[in-house]
This record gives sequence, C-alpha cells and structure tokens, in this order.
Amino acid sequence: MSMHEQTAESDRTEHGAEASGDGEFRQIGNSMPRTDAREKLTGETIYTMDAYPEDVLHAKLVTSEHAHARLVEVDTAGAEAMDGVVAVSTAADAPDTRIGEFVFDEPIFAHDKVRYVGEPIAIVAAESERVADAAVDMVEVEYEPLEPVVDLQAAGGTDPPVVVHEKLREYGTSEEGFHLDDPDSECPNLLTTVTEETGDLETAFEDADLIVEDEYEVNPLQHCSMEAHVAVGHVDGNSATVRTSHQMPHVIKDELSRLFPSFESDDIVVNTPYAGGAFGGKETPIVEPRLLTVARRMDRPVRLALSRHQQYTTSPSRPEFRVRLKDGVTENGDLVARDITIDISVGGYDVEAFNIATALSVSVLGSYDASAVRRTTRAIYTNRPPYGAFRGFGLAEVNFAAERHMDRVADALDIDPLEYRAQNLLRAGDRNVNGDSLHPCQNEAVLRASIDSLDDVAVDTEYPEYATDEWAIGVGHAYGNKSVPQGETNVRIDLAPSGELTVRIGAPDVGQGSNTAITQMVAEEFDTPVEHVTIIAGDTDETERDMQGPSGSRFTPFTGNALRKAAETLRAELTSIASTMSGLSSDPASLRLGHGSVIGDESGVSVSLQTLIEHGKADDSPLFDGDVFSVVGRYEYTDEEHIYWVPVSQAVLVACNTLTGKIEVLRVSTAADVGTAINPKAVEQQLEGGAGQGIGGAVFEEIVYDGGRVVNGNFKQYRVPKATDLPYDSETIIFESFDTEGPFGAKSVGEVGVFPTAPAIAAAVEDALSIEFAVLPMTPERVMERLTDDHPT
Amino acid sequence: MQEYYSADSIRDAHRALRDSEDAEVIAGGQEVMLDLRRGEMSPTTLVDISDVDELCEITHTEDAVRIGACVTYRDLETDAELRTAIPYFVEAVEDIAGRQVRNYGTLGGALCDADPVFDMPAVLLTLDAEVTARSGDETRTIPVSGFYTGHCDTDLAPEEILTTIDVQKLPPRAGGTYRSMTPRDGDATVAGVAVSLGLDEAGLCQTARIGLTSAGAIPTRASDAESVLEGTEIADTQIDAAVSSLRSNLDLLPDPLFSRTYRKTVFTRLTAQAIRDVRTQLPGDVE
Amino acid sequence: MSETELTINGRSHTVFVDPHRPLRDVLRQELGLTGTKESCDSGVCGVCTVLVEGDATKSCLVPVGKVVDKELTTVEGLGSEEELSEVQQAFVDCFASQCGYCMPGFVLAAESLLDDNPSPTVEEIREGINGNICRCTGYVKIVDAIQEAARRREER
Repeated sequence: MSMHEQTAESDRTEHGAEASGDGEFRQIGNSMPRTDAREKLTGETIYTMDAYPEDVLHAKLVTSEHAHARLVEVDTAGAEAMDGVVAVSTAADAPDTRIGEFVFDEPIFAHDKVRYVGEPIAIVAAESERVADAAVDMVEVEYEPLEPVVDLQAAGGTDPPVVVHEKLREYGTSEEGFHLDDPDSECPNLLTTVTEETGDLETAFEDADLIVEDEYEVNPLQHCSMEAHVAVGHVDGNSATVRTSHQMPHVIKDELSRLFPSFESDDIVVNTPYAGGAFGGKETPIVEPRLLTVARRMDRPVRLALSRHQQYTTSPSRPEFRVRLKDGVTENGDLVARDITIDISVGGYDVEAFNIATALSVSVLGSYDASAVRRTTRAIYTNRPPYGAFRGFGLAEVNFAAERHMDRVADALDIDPLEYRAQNLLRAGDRNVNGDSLHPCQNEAVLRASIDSLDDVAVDTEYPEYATDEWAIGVGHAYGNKSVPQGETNVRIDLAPSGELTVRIGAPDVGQGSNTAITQMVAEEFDTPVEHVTIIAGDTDETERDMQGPSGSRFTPFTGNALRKAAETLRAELTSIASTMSGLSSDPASLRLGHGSVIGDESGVSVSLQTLIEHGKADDSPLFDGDVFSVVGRYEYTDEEHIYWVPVSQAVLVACNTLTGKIEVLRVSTAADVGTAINPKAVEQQLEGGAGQGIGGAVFEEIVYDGGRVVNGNFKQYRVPKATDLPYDSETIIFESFDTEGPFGAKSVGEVGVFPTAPAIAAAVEDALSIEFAVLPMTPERVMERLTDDHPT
Repeated sequence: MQEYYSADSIRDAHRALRDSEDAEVIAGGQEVMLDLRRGEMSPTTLVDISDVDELCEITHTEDAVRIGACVTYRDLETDAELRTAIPYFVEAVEDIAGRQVRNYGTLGGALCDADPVFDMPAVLLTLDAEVTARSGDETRTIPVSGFYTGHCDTDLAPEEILTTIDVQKLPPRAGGTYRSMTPRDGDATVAGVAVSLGLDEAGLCQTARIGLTSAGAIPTRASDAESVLEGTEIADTQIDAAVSSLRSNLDLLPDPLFSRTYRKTVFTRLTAQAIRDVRTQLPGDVE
Repeated sequence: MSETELTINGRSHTVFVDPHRPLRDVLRQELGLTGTKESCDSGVCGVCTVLVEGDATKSCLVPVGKVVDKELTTVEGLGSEEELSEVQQAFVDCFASQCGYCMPGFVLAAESLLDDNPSPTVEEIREGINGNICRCTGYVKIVDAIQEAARRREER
C-alpha cells in the first residue's frame, strides 16, 4: 500500500477533527470520486481548446520581435490579400482603452511602441490554422529598435539606462492605483513601492545580539498548464459570447465591457466550464481582448489559441524576485527584528505585479513573530514579457528567502533549525506585530510532522541504487503559512420540485476539484444524495458575481461560505412554509430533503416540494424563479488584516549526483492543517501536486532569456518534470483543526503545497554537499559551480 | 499536391524517390514531422520505408548483429539476444525519450538525421559499427566513424538509402557502458560517454573505445584518451590521464542552457566513472 | 488534398485531407474526436497519444497518410456504453485526474503498457509513462491507478 494512503488514514484518526461544531458529517470527509472524473477519463469533456464551432475562423497573433522599439509601420495588405484570410486587425481597429488591473498601461495592440518580445501587434483571422500562420508571416512590421533594459537592478535605479514607460504617470488608474500620483518617486521604472514599518525597528536591532543579512534570488518560471490560453468569441449584433480557458470569467466579462464600451455589460457573456490547468496564469485578460477586436468585425465565431512558445512570451510568467533579508536575534534564539526588501519584475506592462507587491507587503510575516518588522516591496518595469501570479501569489518565492534565512540564522546561533523555528512560531490565537491573527491551528504539530516522518529512512535498503559513491544524500525541511486576502463571492441555489438542487458558482473548476467540493457541501447541507446535485460553474450568464474565482486559496472558504449562507436562507424559508402547513418542526436544522419532498427529522412527516412551492407562491414568498426556489448567498471578507490559517511543512530526502550536479528528490513528506478535509483524497491531490510543482520550480524550471527574448519557450528545453523526475514516495499528512471561519470548518489547500518545497530542498542539498543556495532554481550547473569551487576538476 | 507513398521494397522506394520532383524518406517520423512543422522541409512526397521487411530485421551471428535501418528502438529493447550480447547497447536504447517515441523511432532514422545529441552513435563508435547504403544496385559500407561529415550531415548521397547497421558483439574479457547527462530523463543529451574496454590475457587493456555524444558537431571518438589507456592496467593514474586528455581535446558547440565549463566538467567526471565501472565488470579486477 | 479512409475505434471514416497533415489535427478538426488533445507543439508532452495497431504513439508526429491501413484507437474507443475500461475506471477510483487534460494520453499509454507488460513494477510504470507530462498531479496517483488497473485486468 502506498505510503500516503496509510498515513492519511492513520493521521486522520490520530489528529482528527477538533471541536467539529456540527457533530458527525455525512458527506463532508468522504473521499467520493470527483464528479468530473468520469467525463475526463472518457475524453468527453470539451475544453475551450476543443471547441471548434461550425464555421469557426482560426486566428493567430502577430507579435513583437523586439524587446523595445518604436513601431514605425504595420503593413497588413499582403496578409489581407491572401486566399483564405478573412480579416487582419491592428491597433487601428481596437478601442483606445488599455488593459490593466490598477494601471491601465497596456494597449490591446501596440500603438507607437513595443515594450517586450511577444507583445501583440496584430491579429489574423483565416479559414484554417495553416493559412493564419502563413498570413502572420506576411504582415510587414517596421521597427526602429531601441535599447531595452532587462536587468532588475539597473531598471530599478534612480537613473536607469532606459525608461520603459515615459508617460507612466499619465496613464489612467483604477481607484487603488494611488502610487502613480506620487510625483516624488525617484525611480522612473518603479510601478509601485510599498513600505511599512511596525514596532521600533532601530531599537529592536540594537537589542539584538546577532544580525544576519543575506540576499536571495528567484528566477522566472511558467505555469505550463497543459491547456494553453485559448478563447472562442462570437459577436452577434451588440452581444458577444466568449468562451475562454480562464479562472475568472466574471472578471473577464467586466474587463471586456470596460475595454469595449460599445458593448453593454449585460450583452457580454463569458463562459469557462472547465480549464486544463491555470495555477494563477489565467487571471487577467490576455487572448480575449485581442480576439474580440477581430471577432466584432464579423458574424462568424473566431478561435485564438496561443502557441506554446507564446505562452512564454505573451501570457504572464512568474516574476523575478530579489529579496534582501536582515534579521536580528538574541543569543538564545528569539527573532526580534526583521527588515525585508522585495523587488519584483513587472515586465513591459503590469499584469499582476502591482497586486503582488501590495499583497506581499502584508503577507510576509505569517509564519513567525518578531518585535519589529519593516517590509518594502517594489515592482519594477523591464523590457521583458509581463509577469503575474503563480500559485501562492508571491508567497512561495518570498518563503524560499525567508526559510533559507531562518536556516542561516540558526546556523549562526548553532541552534537546531527546527527548534529555532518552533521557538519563533506565531502562536495560534495570537496577533503578530502587523496585527494579523493566526487562527487556532496545529501549526507546531504541522511544523514537526513532515521531518519526523523522515527520521528512520534507510537509504541503503530503501534506495540502494543511490547508496553509491557518486551520490550524496541529504535531508531538509521547511515551513510555510498561507494567508487569505479580501474578496467577495455570491452563490445561487435553485431547488426544483423534484428535489434536484442546482448550485450556480462563478468559479470554474480548473482542476482542483471545486465542483466536487461544492457538491459535497450542498449534499451535506440538505442531507441529499449527490446524484441530485448539479453544478453550473463559470458561466457569467448562469451564475452570480464571483470576482476572484479559484485563486489565492479563496475558493473553498468564499464559495463554500456563500453556499452555506444561501442554504441557510433556503432552509429557513422552506421550514417557515412547511411548519405553517403541517406538523413539521419549525427548526430549520431538522429539515432534510428527500426525493421531491422535505422531511422533518423528529416528526418523520414529509411534505412534497411541489406542495410547498404552490403554498409559497400563494403566500408571496420572495424566493421563486418560475417553479423553482432560488436563493443567493453572499460571503465577503473585507478586513485589512490577513487571516493566517493554513500552516504547511515539507521534508525531503534528496540524492545529489556528484558527476552531473543533478538533484533527485527521492522522498517528500508534506503536512498541512486544512481545517476540515472536505474530500481527503482531493486534499492529497492538491498537496502531492503542489509538492511536484514545487520540486519543478526548485530544481528544474527556469525561463532563460537572451536580453528580452525567451530562449527556451518550449517543453523540450523548459523542464516540466516527468514521472521519473519526481518522487513516487510522496506522503501527505493531513491535520484537521476545525476553523470557525470556514465552511464546515474547512480552510483551503490549493496553494500551500508549493511553499516549503524549494527551501526544504536547498536545506537538503546543503546537508548533502555542504554548498549554499540562495538562488532558484538549483540547476545542475549551479550545483556544479558550487561543488567545483571546493573540488576543482 | 502532397503525396504519401508506402514502399514495399528498397527498389520500390528508390523508384518513388526518383519519380517525384521533391521527395523525402520517412521511417518513424519522430524527427521528420518536427522538421515539417518547423518549415525545415516541405517535400511534395514522403516515401515511407518503415514497412519494407528487409529493413526491419535483426539478424544475429556469433560475433555480430545486423540491424535493419527501420528497426525501432522498441524492437531493440525487446531483443533478448542483443541484451545478453551487448547489455549497455540496450540500456542506452531504453533511456531514449519515452515509450511512444521508441515505438516508432528507428536507429537508421537517428543516424541519418545526424543530430550530435542522439545517444546511439556514441555507442556504435565503441562497437566498431558499420552502415550499409544502397542506391540502385550499388551497395557500399561505411564505418560509423566516417559516416558523419558535419553538423547534422552525413556521407549519404541523395539517392542512397541506409539499409543496415552492423555491430560487433563484445568479445570475452570485454565490457562497456554508456553514461549521459540529460536534464530530465529522456531529454536530449547534454554530455554523453560510451566506453568499451577489452582486456588481453595478461589483464591489460587491449582495446579502449570512447564515444562521445554532444561533444561537438559530430559524434566522435576520444582517440587520444583511448591511446592513454591501451596497454595499461587501467589504474587510477591512467584514468586521470585519459580523462585529462579527453577534456583538453573537447571542442564543444555553444549551448544556450549549459555552459562549456559545465559540460567539460561533466564529460570529465562521467568518463572517469564510466571507465571505472567497466573495469570493475571485467575479470581480474585488482580490487 | 485527397480522399483518405481511416479505421478508428473499429469504424471507417472518410476525410478529405493532405496526407502530410498530423493525425492529431485530422482527428480533432475533421472528425470532431477531441479526446485526443494538443498542448506543446514539439512532440514532447504526449497529450496527443493514440494507439496505432495497439502501439502508443504521438499523433502530432504521425502524418495521416502513414496510417491509412492501420487500426487506430483513440480514447473514445475505450470501454463500452456500460462501463469504462479497467484503466479508465482505476484512474477514476484512484483520484488520478485533476484538470483532466492529460488523461486521455495517459490512459492510452497505460493500456498499451499493460498490454505489453501485465504486471509492471512501480519503476516500470514510471518509466513507461515518461512520454506523457502532467502538470497537476505529481504522477503519484497516476502510478497508483496503473497498478490498480493491472490488478483488475489480471482478475478479468
């Protein structure tokens, strides 16, 4: 039996639900097969990439070949004249509005300048992909190349060699783009800087017995969702339907109606039934505005898919991070002061860097406490493809630096790194110096569980092929914590007379099993079989507003809580009508749904839903949509402070090959406190998958640039791990501390799996080879550079 | 107008190639289809030779094995006699790409594509392999060591089809290994070394062959390093000297992802380990 | 372009296509068989895997002219109306599917792996699926599912 099965079982028994407020669950905690599994295994699921409506036109983008240039002329005549080409659109055909979240800096198609290799300049729509590709080559673009700036340090200075946006402060902004109004900003390529200091930093450093400073570097990587960015758009008169592979259809709908004022917001429908992966890379408008520009010129549907290379150049990647840490500690190991500066690259235009920089400034303290902290985050424009969120929204990258730094300090103090962490762990129930609270959870147990699990590994017997001289073995460990940012979600429940429950959620299932989780929650709410539950997800016409979708680990708590609120309202209404009619209890908690009826627990009396509906309509009950009860629940989290609540740790056993510098992770153990595991197997999926992706980013994956050009934008040279590159021995230890803020006590688990991986592996490599790593990824060449410093060949 | 022609004999393939204005040979298609997609070739006719029986056979004799050009990697993996006779040959095959590619990819196709990152030429160089090429009724034999003329270029004339690869089996008191650095399993090789060693009756090195993958424009042998080992006990000092000679002779192509310094270090370390591993396999190992 | 007859999942289909066109595109765009996926453009990821005479191959690297007289199997041809194949059902039961986009490719690779090797070790399974990339799962439950499928096929 595989290790993780055993552990998940036994640990759920050992560390079972604490103070589970609702008593015994029926559906919650049940590892039922995912509701989408069957159709995905038969190939029946139609992803956006598979949508080929009859009469569809195939579109391809013409993109910039220069990292920085004046756009002198774009001649589309040759392309337009080609047989099979239906239309070519450029900036002249697009509205003047600009894409952006806080700063509206990016035109739909380049106007007078291009600022990154891959920036869209034109779009061709043709009868076939082959013709579209040929037509792209026929579009003649005249550039006047300009010097680009790609180095983060150089770009971020007060006198950079190149200014990426000369008119930055003249761009429109959303309300929150306040930093652009600051005329005193000294750095022309600085999009935003956020500095906050709490506590008395100067005194705290003076009180410290030891100060440790270091710098860390994390290089860009790509999400590599197996389904690339793709959308199919159809404009019919004044209405537009866009089917897209995306995390946030409601956001896309809003953005498209802002960008294209000729469409009324109500006349735009955006739909994502499923996506083939996202990982934070599908949160902003990328293909949709370019597609709509050409689609609105014709009656036929148009399909635009990015090529795999364009995924690296034209869709967002994870930024470059430079983190400087300065920690002050007492000689007995109390962390008293921390000064942290985080620089991230924006790229040519802001996709999400502003957002990340702002979010990071409050979320860097979730794991440990200190008396005083200053954090400064800066987002800096460069002439590189744009950067956005990757699983963790910057937390994983900063956590690499922070956890490596904990190891440095522990080493300097000669204290065990595990105990050093335990000593400074943010205490459950306490607020840290920023005022953020750590919800009650088993964070110390989580901290220790993964490394304890690797205690008795015997490499000689368990991994004999690695017990030779060419391999150096090491063990490492790290910790992390996820915080939840603000957001708002609305969920609608429809109850039909047959007892069929339809739940309408704005967030699409991009692979994490959200549809299944909601199915289980609503089945739990009404004690109804899961077969009676239908989920409609990701269609803006069919669902209520959800402005964050599955992102930032908010799906389970936000959609789940909104669902529970809707359910609460519905139960109350059903009960109120039922109790007036019959001997059914007036206590909503005792109400159950049967097959087409409601049943009161105590009385055992049942009343048909049809009767209830007729009665309710006669009584003018407010909850009807035709013949169906229809209720919307809303959940909102608006507090300034972040909730810290998902502690996670990982321990790894690595084998480093001294001939090639390759690092192999032989075993990984992941522990996390998820509140309540709605579906334990689905939780394992997230943690195992997170560990795998974490290993990819730690050891294998890096976008390599030549100036502003991506050199390895393909799956041959960019190394998404294959099966034998990742450990089969991947254990997950699930802790459950029922959280009163979460639905059925559940928190979430989508992101934390990638937080501790890189620092844990770096610690293991240090253990194995006595070499230090303050940079990611730890490629074979970087390992060898450090090895040969000590052992010249 | 695009054509696809499946030949039933070598003669038939030659005729089809002659008759078309612009034809290319295809066997497994694992490289050809990528070339087509990248626009590196756009022939009118593809002449498929993968179903020509004569090209798909593996024939064993006592001392050698004759491999048809269209024998797939999968056929090689599952040939038990080959695995017994030359274990490291089959082990090298098993590490190529993934199952799907090995189901269709052919040894002959890889040789003709002549990309220096392919693994098998280095292995073939350590086994004194030869290839046979046929045009019309004429056949000629070319040693693998003379088959490559430049980066992705071979000695084959346009009208010639590669028909067989002849490989010498390991004699008694001989052994070999193939070590390579691939960033992920199945990736293109960054640095690869095939080593075969044969001992004489006194236990000294009689033959040493070292074949290199991704060590320049063409697959090569490290002949100087081989000379250092021949006639010796293959002790540590000799291994160090051989490896040092190999390193100084390396003339690597530029690579956007791995520096020359790194690759030279890896060649050095892999070669030293490979020689030691083979030496350990052989009878009369001093330790 | 020429009239081309293909035998897919036991049925005959006639399409009018260029013989050099990748089989994958013919399946998806001419025949509406979108279970076979597209992703990497460079023959690495395996989401386009189909079986040709039972052998797993990447349909993006197969010109359609090459397979006109061969039995082709796509994911749509597995299992029956009543039940999924052992491999498909094991993938469902073992939670091997997350976003699901890579699943058809893995399933076909697994079918052909188990046809050749009915009782593979964990290592043989891992090596056997190295021609397919998954971004979501870390492969752990995919390996579990193939082991389970092997057990169920033995029982059959």
